[in-house]
Amino acid sequence: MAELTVGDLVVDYGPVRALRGVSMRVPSGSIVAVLGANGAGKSTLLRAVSGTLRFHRGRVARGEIALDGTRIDELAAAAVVRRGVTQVPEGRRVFARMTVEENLRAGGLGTPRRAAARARERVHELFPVLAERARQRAGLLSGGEQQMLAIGRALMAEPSVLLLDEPTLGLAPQMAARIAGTIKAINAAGTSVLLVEQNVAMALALASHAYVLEVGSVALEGPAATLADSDEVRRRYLGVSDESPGLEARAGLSRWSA
Amino acid sequence: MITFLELLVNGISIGAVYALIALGFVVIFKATEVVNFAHASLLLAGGYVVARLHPHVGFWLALLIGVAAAALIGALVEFLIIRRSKASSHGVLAIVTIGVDIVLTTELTRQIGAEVLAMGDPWESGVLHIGGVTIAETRIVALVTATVLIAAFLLAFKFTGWGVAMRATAEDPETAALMGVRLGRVSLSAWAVAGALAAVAALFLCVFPTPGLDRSSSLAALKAFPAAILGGLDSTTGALVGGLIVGVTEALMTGYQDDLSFLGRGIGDVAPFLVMIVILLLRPAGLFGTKELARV
Repeated sequence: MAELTVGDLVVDYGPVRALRGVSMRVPSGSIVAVLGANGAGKSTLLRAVSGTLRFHRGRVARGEIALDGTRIDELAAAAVVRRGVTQVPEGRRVFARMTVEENLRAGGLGTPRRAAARARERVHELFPVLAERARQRAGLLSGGEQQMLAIGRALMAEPSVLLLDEPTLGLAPQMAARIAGTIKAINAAGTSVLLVEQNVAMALALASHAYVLEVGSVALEGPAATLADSDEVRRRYLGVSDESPGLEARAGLSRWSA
Repeated sequence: MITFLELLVNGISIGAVYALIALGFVVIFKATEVVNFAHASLLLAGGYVVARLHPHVGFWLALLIGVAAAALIGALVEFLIIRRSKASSHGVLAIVTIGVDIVLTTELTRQIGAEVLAMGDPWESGVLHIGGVTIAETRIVALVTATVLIAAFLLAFKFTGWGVAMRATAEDPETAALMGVRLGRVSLSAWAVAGALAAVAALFLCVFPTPGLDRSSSLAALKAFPAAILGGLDSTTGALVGGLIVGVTEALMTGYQDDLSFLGRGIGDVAPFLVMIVILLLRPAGLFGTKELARV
């Protein structure tokens, strides 16, 4: 269990400022969601935490990121993993040319042998399909199975904080629900989760607390249940509103196509 | 027929040596995406250490030190230059390695001068006669050694944690880093392994029937470039097959050059590059290379 804190974080990509003083807290054992439109800075936030900004020519210009009070914002990606913070990348990014088993092994390279064996057992329990397909090439798995593999691979490092970048993107609703259930189970076993998600309804149902990013700043924050009930979030991200402009827009569309 | 068999065995043996060089080349490319033009100078450095040390410490210890020295030089090039470079593209780094090659080769050439250094190997000019086929002992040893080293390398690449880290990095460096793979170590080990393999290759390029190590010995390493490229720069299998194709082509073309005199003298030296060009025309990514697919 560990608490992740982000304080007044400013991130630049060259001359472009992507985050403008973001502060947030992922308390020990919680699920915290980060919502926002494309380009709001969600992925940048995760990159800053996981130490992969340098792959995108970005840098932390100000502020700090700490795990249980110890700063981790100047560490290389591999060192961040060793401290217990692991990210499941957006778009799954499984090692397609390697087998399922080798993918899991790659996730546990920095873990001592016995801990890795224990982690593998747990991953196989969570996702039995990964045990069945251990010798298949990861590139041949379905999208949902690849997402399971990506999550399983990250769990091989036995993280205390798990970062998830759009885990349900492009998945069928049933598979998305299944992934959501798994995230809940992982959290129940004691891992804190920072979840970046486009599927706002799902994210708010899972999380205890949520932050809404807009052009690099926190626009809204609060307990997930309160946010789910707030008019602004409902209108903007859940597509629900009392005046239901959605319907009118659709009527307009049909006129055009007729 | 006898001539053909002799040429074929010699070609396979020298091809296996080229494969050692090409393998190092491919490993560096896979781990760091840098085309290492300094490979020939690593090879020359390893060979030079063996040639200079064997009168003092004996052949085997000299070989060990030579291999270690080439590995160390490779690691230093990575640690001091490649890792610290702020160059934005791998193309720039490739040009940097040309610079490294020039510096190293110039210094080694100065040290070697006009001498031809013996390698002090225990096989000397011994030959084996197998059913009318005459083969130099050094060729047999080269073939066996290269086969063992390549097999060991491929097994390590497939089964060890180092191999998994290496392949993960080759496929997607950012994700490998996210999984805790230390990219610096992967890159350092790739350069060291490549250096060590090059030093072993240097030994076999400079023993009988070659008179010894001289300042032009590194030119032989250039033939490993077409080997790596025609196999596909990012494929270890490609490096092996490429090495064999180049070795056998060169041996046969040289052996039969009297019958090919209409092509001019020295066709054997040119043949590897001709084969490379033909293969690249037919398969632009090399025989086993990953095809660059673009969705339109």
